[in-house]
Order: sequence, then structure tokens, then C-alpha cells
Amino acid sequence: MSYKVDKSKLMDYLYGELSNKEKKQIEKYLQENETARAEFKELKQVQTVLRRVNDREIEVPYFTFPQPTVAVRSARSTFWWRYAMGLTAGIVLLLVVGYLTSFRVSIDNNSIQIAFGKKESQSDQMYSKKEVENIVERILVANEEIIEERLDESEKVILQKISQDKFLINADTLNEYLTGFGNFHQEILMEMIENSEQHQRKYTDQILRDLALYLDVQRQNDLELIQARFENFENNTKYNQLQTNQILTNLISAVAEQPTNQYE
Amino acid sequence: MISADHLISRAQKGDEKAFNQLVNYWYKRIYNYVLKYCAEEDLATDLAQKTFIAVFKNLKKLKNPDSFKPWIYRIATNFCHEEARRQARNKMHAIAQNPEEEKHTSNQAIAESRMFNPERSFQQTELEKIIFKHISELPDEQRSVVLMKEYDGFKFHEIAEALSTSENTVKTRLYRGLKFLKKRLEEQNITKETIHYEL
Repeated sequence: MSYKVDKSKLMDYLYGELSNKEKKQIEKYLQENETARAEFKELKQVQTVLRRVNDREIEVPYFTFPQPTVAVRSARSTFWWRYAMGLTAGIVLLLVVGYLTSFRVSIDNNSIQIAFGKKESQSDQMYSKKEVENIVERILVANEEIIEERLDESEKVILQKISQDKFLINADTLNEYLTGFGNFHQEILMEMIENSEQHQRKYTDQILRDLALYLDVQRQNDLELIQARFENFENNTKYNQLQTNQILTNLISAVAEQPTNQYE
Repeated sequence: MISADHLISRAQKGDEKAFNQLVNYWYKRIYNYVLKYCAEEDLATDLAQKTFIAVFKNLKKLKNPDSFKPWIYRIATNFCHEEARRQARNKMHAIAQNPEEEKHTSNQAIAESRMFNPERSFQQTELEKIIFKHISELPDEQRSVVLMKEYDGFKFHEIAEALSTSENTVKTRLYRGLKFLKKRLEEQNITKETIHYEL
């Protein structure tokens, strides 16, 4: 059976915290296992080096502490004294404020009333529930009577107006009205058509006049153009005729100055 | 001779003299534990005093006087962890002491504490500085375990009680801590043989 040494066992062996049996097992294992033996040797060396450090000799101080019980008691008594003073001051302040503001608390049959200011005299008459119901009932009855009276009056007035003839419309009146209404509209329609025709006629005349004027101006311009071209042609003709005359004159002059017999 | 339990029970009742007898017995051990943890003498003094003030304030809460040793080390360890976190926040090195001042205080302590041999004392001081430095590089939980086991003679179950953890966890932390220190010491060629040769 093989025996395995882990880190934990190695540490136990290094610091001598093993039983004799385990110690022998490990020693046997280390003899057989070179790697484990080398590792143990290294750790032992580190241990040896670390143990070269010596403890320092120092002067041990003497500790003195204040008595905590005394301090607590003192603090506690101070606290109660302050608490009592604060409470008293608060009560006095409340009493003064209550007096200045006339603070009062009253307890009735089933209610508590808290109020400030002076109490006003109770002028309002207190009614019982039954009395209030009677008052409300009387007011309702009176209102109903008034409403009924007003409705009757309104009904009478309406009936009177309906009974008068001038407010009735019969068939003849309606026919007259419709006939008159139709004639009126027919006249308006005719008038509109006539106005429209007149307007169109005026518009057409105006267009024709404008067209005639335009054509007249156009014809005038054409005539002036033709006239200008005729004048231009006439001038050119006169110029050519003058040139021809001059050439002929020159030729005649040249012929006249030559001798009659060249062999003479 | 007054037993430790009797002293503790008297101190729990507010007996200042009994409490100071407890201080007399435990102060040096706590101071040296804290000193190895923080590697700074002034800070170690502060933390040791804080530890005993906390002990006085909370002694009445201790139910079993047999647990006094793991209990007082737990208080000291908590103060050390708190200080380590504070220093980590302030990005201060664990050994932040002025070298000149450190040299002075160390030499003074050595001169007062043992027969003075300048060469040997210097070598011893240098070795302690190196070891303190490497211990201070350990993670908090490994550091506590290494110090309690190596220097204060705790059993594994006592360390587990002080640190509120299991024995196996304690052993694993110790194994890792020793491995880490081995690596660091080898880097500086500090072995069993070299220190025996030098010292």
C-alpha cells in the first residue's frame, strides 16, 4: 500500500505535530522519494533562516485607564438633569403659548373641541332634528305652490295667443305668398339675364373696336414701310442714272479729243 | 504563583493591576509579532498599544480564558491587516522608515539587548532587515500564519481559531508562505549554509 504525503502532512511533520506512527510513515516515504525529500529540505532551510531573527527586548508600558463606571454615572446624571430641565421648560412654554392664544379644549356629549381665541356667545338657536325636518318640509311645500301658480299663468297666456286669428296661417295666404315669392324671383332672374346680355354686348363691341384699331395701325405701318422702300428704290435709280450719264460724258469727251487721221 | 486564568478573570472585573500583569506577560510577544508583520518599530509600538487598549475594552466579552492567546493575536492581526490596507491605499511601502532613523533605532535596540559585537550585529541586522522585507511581501493571510507558527509557537488549531478558519487552510497558507520565502531568499543567495558561514 502506497503512502502519499500532501502539503498538510508535510507541514505537520515540519513542525512536529504528528503522532509517532505517522512520523515514521513520513520518514519512510521521504527516504524512498527523492523529490519529496528535496522539498522538505528546502522548507527546513527556510525555517532555519527565519529563526535567525531574534525578538527585540522592549520596555513594557504600564496601562492606566479611567474608571468607566464613574464616567458613565456622571454622564447619566448630567443627562437626567438636562432631560428634566428641558421637559420643564417645554411645559412652561406650552402653558404660556396656551394662555396667550386662549387655547381651550371642551368635551361635549360625544365630541372633543379644540380651539384658539375667545369663546363667542352662542346666538344661534339650536333646532332639534324634528324641527329641522318640519322647516324643510314647509319650505318645499311653499316652493311647490309658487311653481304651480307660475305654470298656470304661463298656460293661460299661451292659450290666449293661440286663440287669436292673426296668428293663424291658412292656404290662400300661403298661395299668395308663394305666388308673390315666385314673381319676385322671376323678375330678379330676368333682370340678371338682361344685365348679363348688355354686359356681354359691351364686352364684344370693345373687343371688335380694339381689333379694328389694331388692324388699322398695322396697315398704316405696312404702308409706311412700302413707301420707305419705294423711296429707297427711287433714290438708287437716280444715283445709277447719274453715274451712267457721267460715264457717257467721259467717253464722249475722250472720243472728241482724238485726231481724225492717224496717218497724218 | 497566580494562574493566567485567575489574572484574566481579575482583569475582566476591572483590576488594573491584574491587567498590567497580563500586559507584562504578553506585551513583548505581541510587539514582536506586530514588528515582524509591519517591519516598522514605531508602528509596531502603536499597534501593540492599540491591541492592549482593545483587549482592556473587550476583555469582559471573552467567555473562555483558555482562548486568550488566539483572541489577543486575532486582535493584533486585525490591527495589522487594517494598517496594511491603509498603507496600500496610501501607496506606501511596508518599510517606509527613514533608513538613518531605522539604523539608529535598530542599533540601539541591539546594543541594549545583547552583548555588543559590531561586525556580528551589523550582519544580524542586515539579515533581519532582509527577512522582514520578504515577510512583508507575503500576502496578509500567509504572513499571519507564518509569524504565528514560526515565531510564536502556535499549534495549527490555535492559528485556525485565531484567524477563524480551518486547520487545512492554515497549513496550505503556511506551505505557500514558506515556498514564497524560499524563492525570495534564494534570489539573494541566503541559505542555511551561507548564514552559518557569515554569522
